[in-house]
Amino acid sequence: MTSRTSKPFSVRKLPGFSSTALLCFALLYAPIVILVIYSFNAGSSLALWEGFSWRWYHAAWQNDQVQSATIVSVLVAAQASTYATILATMAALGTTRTRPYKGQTAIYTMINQPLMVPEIVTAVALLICFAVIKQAIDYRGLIFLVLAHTAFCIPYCLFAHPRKARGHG
Amino acid sequence: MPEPLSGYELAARQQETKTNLLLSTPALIILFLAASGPLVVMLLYSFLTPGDYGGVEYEASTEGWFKVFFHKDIFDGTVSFADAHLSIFWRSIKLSLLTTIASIILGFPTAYFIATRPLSSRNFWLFLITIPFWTNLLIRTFAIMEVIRNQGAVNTLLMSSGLIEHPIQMLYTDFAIMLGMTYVYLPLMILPLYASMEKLDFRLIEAGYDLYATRFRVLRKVILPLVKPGLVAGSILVFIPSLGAFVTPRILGGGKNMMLGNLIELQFGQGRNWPLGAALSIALLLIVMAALLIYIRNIQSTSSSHD
Amino acid sequence: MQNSISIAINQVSKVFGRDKDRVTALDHVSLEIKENEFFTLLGPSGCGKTTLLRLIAGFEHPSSGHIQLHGEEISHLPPFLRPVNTVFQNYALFPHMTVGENIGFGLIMQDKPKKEVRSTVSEMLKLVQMEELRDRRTDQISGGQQQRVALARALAPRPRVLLLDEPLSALDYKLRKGMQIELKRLQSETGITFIFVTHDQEEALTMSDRIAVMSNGSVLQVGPPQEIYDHPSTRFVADFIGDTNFLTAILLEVDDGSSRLQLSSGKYIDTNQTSSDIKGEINITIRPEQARLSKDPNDAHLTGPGN
Repeated sequence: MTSRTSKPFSVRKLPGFSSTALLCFALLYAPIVILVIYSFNAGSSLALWEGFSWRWYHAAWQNDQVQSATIVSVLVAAQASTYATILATMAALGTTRTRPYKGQTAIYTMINQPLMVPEIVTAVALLICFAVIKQAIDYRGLIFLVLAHTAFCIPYCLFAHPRKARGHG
Repeated sequence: MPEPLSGYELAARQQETKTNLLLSTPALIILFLAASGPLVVMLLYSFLTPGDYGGVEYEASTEGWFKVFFHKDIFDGTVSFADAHLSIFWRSIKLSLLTTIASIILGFPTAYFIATRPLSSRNFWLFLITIPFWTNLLIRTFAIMEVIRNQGAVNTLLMSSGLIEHPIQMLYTDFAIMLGMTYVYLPLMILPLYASMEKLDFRLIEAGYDLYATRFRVLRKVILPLVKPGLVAGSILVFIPSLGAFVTPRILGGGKNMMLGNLIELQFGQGRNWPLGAALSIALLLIVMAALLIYIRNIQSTSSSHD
Repeated sequence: MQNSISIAINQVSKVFGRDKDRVTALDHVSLEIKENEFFTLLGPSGCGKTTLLRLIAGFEHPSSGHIQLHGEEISHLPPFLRPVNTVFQNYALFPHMTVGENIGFGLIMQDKPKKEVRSTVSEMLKLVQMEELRDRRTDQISGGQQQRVALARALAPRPRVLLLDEPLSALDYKLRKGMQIELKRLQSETGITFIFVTHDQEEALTMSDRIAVMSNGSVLQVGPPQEIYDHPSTRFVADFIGDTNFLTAILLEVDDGSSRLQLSSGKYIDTNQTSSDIKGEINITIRPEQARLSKDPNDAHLTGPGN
């Protein structure tokens, strides 16, 4: 290649964009990387490195609360994602790749609603409803958590679907 | 298009519509039970009387809504604007707008960078963007907290390099909240922006340069108008969750720098005023709907002019 | 201009990619294009003609060699500093602007006063006979009309050189014929140097003042259409331009102004052509319209064109 004194003009580049982007990637990962590294810290500080150790993983593994919370998380996640995928697939078949029909927009709005309403609003509304129901039927299982998470996951599943559905159309 | 349909065809179409509705029904029922229905219940709750230990008394009242905007002095009964609430509204909107702007400043070049990579490596860069997105919100917020603490990475680095003598107080400020929300919601800006930029016809950019537009003018006159749908979508996707954020402001803002989400949360905890909390939630929802309305208008105007 | 050379291309090479993926798009190309000339780069797809055009426009930069515009080196100037405009193959009209705004874009980017922009746009619309479509969106007009807008947009800033990248390839036969005449008219009316890229030899022959035939990144022959048609310098040029027949023969002797050949059939033949003086195997090309039938088997002879 010939040596260049100045960078030749490129129609695809804009000044500072690439460096901003790389900085952005670095900023996105730096905090997570720091957190991961310090999870192996022998000491209890996040600023002072006192040597490598499995101490905290060991502590977490033996903590009853961590164990039961993990089990609940996995159970809720597994159920919610399964139900959401099934329901979203059916809904995807019903809303994409078809002739536009009356009520289709309404269905879309309804399905995307969890994405448009701030989480705190949904959370509070669910708290109110589930409090009432819990009082009435005295049930303390995971079904409410599963139900709520299934509802949240449906729009995400549907987002992933149309592309695949369209690909074969 | 409005061709008269034969009886057979009409029946077939009705059948098709029926099948479509039937397929969507289970999802709609779940969404009604766990998303839309509760919103209606909450609207009703905002017009009830607060119970003494949380919950409500089933007695109609507009006290909740009154308290959103006004403050009644407990001693002399004088009514004034609820400054504390209104300033939280204002701070929430301000911080959410600043977060959106910061996300654009960081996200626009990043999305452009990804969109101009060779096709084979684009998915890799996109993947890098989505990993943090799928990482737990709490973990990411604590990560930011660790970085900006007085004894955190940034301050340690600045002090050891001799640039500052005393740590800069970043944690528990509005700046910390904004930084945290930008960090957490940035992927939501980059992804729709990228989707718009991926479709960008680079011949149009060449045409801009060919017609004497400098880089800045190509960006402003050609690229920006063409990726506007993605920019607006990204802004909405960042603005809405920012406005309702409660985890990030609580961890990074401390107790004093509340946002709307924390105020709402408070009413269902220590505040024990569910109707006020419900009314605040509905108010937040109205602001979000106003933002969505602007978005829909924008989409309609660009799509009608582009197709 | 004492030399009246508009564009001088000197030993220009362009290599894409690196190492194993290296592709030489242009290999030491030299050309001189005169002022106010309708110059055509003709060749099959992948011959490097579009790359050469993009180098002149400034979208790409030569790996080596020089490009001069009126004696001034431009090969490293960005496109917005070159008084050269392009008519793109797919027109590349800005979809977010009207017909009038598209045409005025280059003028506004040159910071011309508003009044001048308006009058030049009107003038251009008149030139391409589209006055009544000024406020239309570019997707609301036909392909032929888009073609005219693209032309008007490129001509409006009065460039020294206009580059046309297969601008007629997307039009149907009849429109194409009409536009060929129109382009010729515009060129003579504006006095701008036109560099026209096409793979259509008929288009090249009817419109051009001079043609450069390209293949595999090299220029094979440059000359007026008639000369290229009648005196192709290589077998490739003869084959690519027009219909022709090839015969192989052995050149036996070359005499002052005539030569004697032996055809592969064994027959001897005399010709007044002396384009080669190296004895041995040669190619003869005969245009079908030049062939005459004769009853006398001994009458066979070859007479070159123009002699």
